[in-house]
Order: sequence, then structure tokens, then C-alpha cells
Amino acid sequence: MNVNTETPIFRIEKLSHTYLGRCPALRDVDLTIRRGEQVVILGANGCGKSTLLKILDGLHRPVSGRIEAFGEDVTGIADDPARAQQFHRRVGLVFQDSDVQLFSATVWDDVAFGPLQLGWTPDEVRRRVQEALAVMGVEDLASRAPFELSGGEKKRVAIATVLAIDPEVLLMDEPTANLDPRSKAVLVDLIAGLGRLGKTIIATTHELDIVPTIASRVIVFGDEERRPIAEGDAQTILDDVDLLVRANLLHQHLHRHGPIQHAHRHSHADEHDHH
Amino acid sequence: MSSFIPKTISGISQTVERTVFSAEHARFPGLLQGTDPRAKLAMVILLLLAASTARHLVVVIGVYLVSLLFARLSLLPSSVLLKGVWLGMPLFAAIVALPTVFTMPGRALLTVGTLGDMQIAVSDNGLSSAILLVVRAGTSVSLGLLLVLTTRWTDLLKSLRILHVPDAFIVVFGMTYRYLFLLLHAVNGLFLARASRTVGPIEGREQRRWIASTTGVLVNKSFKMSEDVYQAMVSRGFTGEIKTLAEFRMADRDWLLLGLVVVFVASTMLLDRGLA
Ligand SMILES: Nc1ncnc2c1ncn2[C@@H]1O[C@H](COP(=O)(O)OP(=O)(O)OP(=O)(O)O)[C@@H](O)[C@H]1O
Ligand SMILES: [Mg+2]
Repeated sequence: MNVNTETPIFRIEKLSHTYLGRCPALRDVDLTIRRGEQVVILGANGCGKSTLLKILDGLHRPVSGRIEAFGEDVTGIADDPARAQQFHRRVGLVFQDSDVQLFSATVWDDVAFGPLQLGWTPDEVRRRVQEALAVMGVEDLASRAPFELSGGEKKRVAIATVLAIDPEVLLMDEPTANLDPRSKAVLVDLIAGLGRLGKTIIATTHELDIVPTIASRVIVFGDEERRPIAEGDAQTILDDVDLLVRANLLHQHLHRHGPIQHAHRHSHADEHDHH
Repeated sequence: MSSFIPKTISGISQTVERTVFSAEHARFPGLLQGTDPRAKLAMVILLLLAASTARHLVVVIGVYLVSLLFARLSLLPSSVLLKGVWLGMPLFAAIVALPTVFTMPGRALLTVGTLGDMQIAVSDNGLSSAILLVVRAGTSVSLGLLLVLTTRWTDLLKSLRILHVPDAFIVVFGMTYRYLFLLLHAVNGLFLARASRTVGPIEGREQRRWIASTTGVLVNKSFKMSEDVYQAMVSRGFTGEIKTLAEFRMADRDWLLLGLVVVFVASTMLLDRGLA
């Protein structure tokens, strides 16, 4: 194979998914993710972000469509445990809800879970755990029980459990949801740092303010369409107020300041007395 | 008085969440904590066998006393095994054991009334088998708690596997265990959420309605979450065969303890026969 036309990490064609007896969660999604990209998938609640990431992680078999990862067809990998394990060595998912991801007695055990399942030696496991805890700055929490941690701590530990496997691709489902501003800033910096190290990252969110820091490319999912309706670099997307309103990511009446400039709609100008 | 039910439920669920699932006791330096999980599992299964086959109350009480002794030696607070087990028993007794009080044929101790030609009465056989049933259930629950409280979740799964329990069963068992945890967690969350939204006491009827309506939501929610937990495990390389760092090694002490339990269980069975 020619090195110049490197195979993409993910190539998704006509992917659709419907949960039993519901309207489609994803409709005819086409998507390509290249190595070393930090892609943010922007979409409103319920537009299928979590579903997409679970399918990318090989946990659901999509109802229709085709997924290629690292040049191989992985569409039905969920049904083949041996192949799935190899795949999970290369692709890790940080779940939206940290509580489901932390199920061991201590933080250390939880971070060690992945490396152990992959059959690494005890010394290697210990080294990986140590590293992952250090990267996320949670070494102090190693002997604590996960359920007694704060939301921000849980999220960092959850990311550490995936980093311990050192996957090539990191999928993160709403990594900054429900965090206070300071925890959020810390986490966004950590994610940006992982990006600078060259990790391929696919993160979902509906929080516009974190996008410029962590995204090299932004894909907007339509609220109704259940598929990408636009893509571009962070600045281009965030400047497109009509698009953001259409995707239900920005409310007409709300003013956003800070990183999103001029995202003002003055249809209710008389109600706002600042400026 | 009106807040009795929620107080009891949230009290129990918080205690269970803390004691059972935090594995706080699994880290104490007690007897069972230091025992090989496989030996421990075998011991508990043998004792369960003894308790569930015994036909004489004394024998079952003997097994129960042994489980209390183990709890003591494993540094478990006595309240966990005493209160934790017997608080729930009256409910169990009412549902499961009460009918046998009336339905077992035997000498009438107390006549309650008549139904047509039939006399409804508490029989001596009925009463003693109901008591046996309740004590047996309490003993079994104690033994189960003993195992679960002194063993880490992953070690428990691993020792089941070593005893050749099928993978599918282990996954189901593991998920059930997580499911209960998440259910309790959700219960606690809901009580907190409601307490923070309401001012002043809520009257009894409203209370019961609320409990009924939230139960469904909770069960659904925690079921969905335990499915997600399974996916989260698969996502990190789990294939049904759990691997842990703990090297299982049967020390002399483990063999000795197991031997003692075997001798004890065998003698209870002989005794149980002899008493007949
Ligand atoms: N396990 C499930 N069973 C049935 N329907 C589901 C399930 N999970 C998601 N859905 C439905 O699929 C659609 C997409 O859900 P998904 O969780 O992927 O959205 P999302 O973009 O992640 O939303 P959010 O921002 O709220 O996390 C929703 O309409 C949801 O109700
Ligand atoms: Mg989601």
C-alpha cells in the first residue's frame, strides 16, 4: 500500500441505526476520520452521538451500513469476541456516564482492568496504571473507591482507565458534561494535550465553548437529520450562527460571549439592556 | 411516621451500598480476607449445602453460629450480619414461611377459624417447619454476605471461573451484582433528589404513590445502566473470561480451613441423620 495515501482510521458508509421500535438514531451517515485528527462531533441531545461512538467502538452492530477501521471491515465485530478484543486494544471509549465505566473496588483496580484483560504481565500492568494515573493527575486517588469520588475526579479516572490501554484512537462521549468550570478547564487542557501528542481523538459535545481548544475539525450533526449537516474548522463552524441555531446548539434568545464571537441574535434586542 | 418507609429504604440502601459494594471490608486484615477465594467459595458452598439439607433446627443454628464465628474472625462488624440479615427476615417470613404454618398437616396448636368443613389452625409441624425455613434463609443470606463482603468483585468472578462455572453464568452473575449496585445507587440518588425538591413532610398516600411510580423508572434505568457496564467492560478488552492481578495460591492455611469446614459439614450431616 502507498504510504502517501494512508488508509483512514475510520471510513463509514451509509451507516444507519435504529433501536428496537424507535425512530432512527442515525440515518445514512458517511464519515471519514484520518490518523492524528482531533474531531469534535457537535450535536444536540438525542441526535445520536452516543450511538455513533458505541458503533465506532464495535459495541453495537449497526442496522445497516458499513464501517471500515484501519482498512478492515469491522461492521459486525461485536459478534466476534477474539477480534473485538484486538480491536479494543486500538480503540478506546470513554463513556458519557462515568458510573458505568468504574465498576471495581478501587480506582487502581479500575485502571488496571483493561491492561489485565489484554493479558499483559503484572509488571507491565503496574507500569501502565502508574502512567495513566499520572497523565490524568489522579495518583492520589489510587486507593479510593470510585463511587465516592466527585464528578470531575470520576471523569478523569474514567479517561485514565482507557489511557492505560494506550489505544491509537480515543473516543470520548461528552467528556466535559456536568463539570464545574474549573474541572472543565482542567479536562479540556488534558484533552488538548493528548491531541498535541498526536492521538486521534473523536469527542462529542454540545458545549460550544470547549470546541476551539480541542478540535482540529468539527462535524455538526443535525437534530432532525440524524447525520452530519456541516463540517469545517472550529472557527468557521462557530461563526455560522444560522447553522448552530438550526442544529439546536444555540438558542435564538441566548447570548454567548467569550470564545464565540458575534454569536448574537438581536431579534429580542429590546429585552437585553446590557452592552 | 409518614416518612418511615422512605427512611427505612434509603437507610438500608445506603448501608448496603457502603458496606457491600465499596469492598471496604474486603480490605480488612481478617481471616476470610486472607483466604484464597477458591477455598472460600468452596467453604461457603459446603456450608450452604449443610444449612439447606438439614432437617433439624439445631443443626441449622449450628451452621449459623459458625458463620457468625467466621464474621467475627474476619473483623466484620457484628451489626452487618445480625441487623443486616434479620431485619429483612420478617418480610420474608410473612411472604414465604407464613403459609406453611397453616398448610402443614399436624396437631392443631391454635385454631384461627373454619372454612366450610375445614378447620384453619396453626399446626405444630407447620410452625416448626416455618421456623426452620426462616432460620435456614437467614443462615444462607449470612453465608452469602460473608463471601461477598470479604471478597473483591473481580476475585469472586475469577474463582467462579476456576471452579468451572460456565462463562455465560459468570457474566450474568457479575452483571446482576452490578445491577443491584446501580439500582441502589439510583435509589439513593432519587431520595436525595426528592428531598432537595420538597419542603416539609409528605403525607402517607402521596408517599406510597411516589414510591410506586419511581420503582418502575428505577428498575428500567438501572437495567439500562448495567447493560452499559457490560459494554464498558467489553470496550476494555473483556471477553467473558475475567483476569485479575491476584495470583491465587492455596496456602497450607487455606487447605486447613477448608478441611475443617469439610469435617464440620460432614458431621452436621451425620448428626442431622442421627437426630431423626
Ligand atoms: N438503549 C437504547 N434503547 C432505545 N433507544 C435508545 C437507546 N439509546 C439511545 N436511544 C435513542 O436513540 C436516540 C439517540 O440517542 P443517543 O444516546 O445516541 O443520543 P445523544 O446524541 O448521545 O444524546 P445526549 O446528548 O442526550 O447524550 C435517542 O432518540 C434515544 O432516545
Ligand atoms: Mg449521549
